[in-house]
Amino acid sequence: MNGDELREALRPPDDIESLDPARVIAGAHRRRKRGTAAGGAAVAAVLAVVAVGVIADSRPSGSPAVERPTPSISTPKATRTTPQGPNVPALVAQCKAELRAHDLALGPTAAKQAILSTADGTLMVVADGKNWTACDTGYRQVGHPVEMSVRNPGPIRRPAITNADAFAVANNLVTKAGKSFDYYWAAGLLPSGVTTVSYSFPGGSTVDAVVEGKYWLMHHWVPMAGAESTASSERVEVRLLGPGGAVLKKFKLQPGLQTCEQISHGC
Amino acid sequence: MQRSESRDEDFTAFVLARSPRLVHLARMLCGDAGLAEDLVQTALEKAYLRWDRIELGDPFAYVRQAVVNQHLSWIRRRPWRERPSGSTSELDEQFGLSLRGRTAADPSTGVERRLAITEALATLTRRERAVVVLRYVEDLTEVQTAAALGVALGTVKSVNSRALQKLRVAPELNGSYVGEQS
Repeated sequence: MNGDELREALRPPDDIESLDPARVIAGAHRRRKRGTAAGGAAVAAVLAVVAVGVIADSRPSGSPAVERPTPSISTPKATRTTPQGPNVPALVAQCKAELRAHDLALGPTAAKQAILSTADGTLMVVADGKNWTACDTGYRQVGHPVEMSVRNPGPIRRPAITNADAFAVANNLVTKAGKSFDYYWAAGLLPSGVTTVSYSFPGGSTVDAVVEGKYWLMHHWVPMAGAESTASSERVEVRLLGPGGAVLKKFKLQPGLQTCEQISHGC
Repeated sequence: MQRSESRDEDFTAFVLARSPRLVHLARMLCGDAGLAEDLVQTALEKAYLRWDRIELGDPFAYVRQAVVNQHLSWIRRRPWRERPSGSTSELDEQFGLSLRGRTAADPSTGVERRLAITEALATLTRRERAVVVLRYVEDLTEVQTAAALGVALGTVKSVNSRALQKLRVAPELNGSYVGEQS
């Protein structure tokens, strides 16, 4: 048996039935509605926590500051890890487990190198002496079972300033607080001479990556307009900035190839 | 309203025409007929919410990518049933390889051969299986496979080579698979 025979053997049989389009469309509407309902419940829970906090005249112990996805197109404030922030050792362990689940691994010395955390998710770079990866919890959402996404490990090597692939973004649809968002995340190593990476998204919002050591991290939620998404020919733009904010390089990501839509793990 | 109706009509036509192939792809990826339909259903639901944008490009490639991604995201929760050990009829049901009419529809390849290959496929790791499925079910090039999986071309080459080597010695195939020499 050769490759052609393998192709033939794996050829789709003729008797697989189509899925029911009406069921798919109804499921899509339920998906949106479910997000709305779950988001409402989350808001109620948040309000309850806030109320308790106000009554007790103190912040809930161990709770991170409540920060909802920005409902406007303005750039959300990215916050670094705080003492009340994520449990880093647990996240590193989870990241390693996620790698194993994908038949991937870093060395035993792998540890956190950089982190970007908001109330809506934590993005973290983990590396050993040779390779790095990034793990993200931003795709996690109410009612959704995915807890963490992980990108393929790569060698610890600064990319060329012209290497647009090094700035590809993972993109997926998430629903939070009853609103739908295009969620983007990416991380990587800074090219030589670059001090930060700035992304501009369809709709007009712009966010600068957080830089920690030689790594940068970015996550961002862009509200989707209306009940249904709208066609957009806009492309994600990346600007590599040098000292003083000088633009050293600017390029637009290729849809599909460098903007991995519906991808939850790293692009 | 007319735009919405037209949109639904286009989407409906797409689902009717392309979902069988997507379900087959998903079955080969995850090895579970029910989960495969869930994967495709989920990918299509998400695609519907973005249909205006998607239909401007290549909707099938988009949804196929979504199925692969969804599979990779789901694997922790619902792992592939490694090495299915059921009887032929159970495998037949699991992979939807209906015996009825199969021989007539596919005279060049016997049912047992297909089942043996499917069993052998189940012995691969998820990543190896994804590469084999995209290369040999979807007939993607190595470059396209690398793009679809978000990995380097060299990774696809090495994973594919390793997967084919495993298939060559798979007991399910009695060493009959020679494969393409790389």
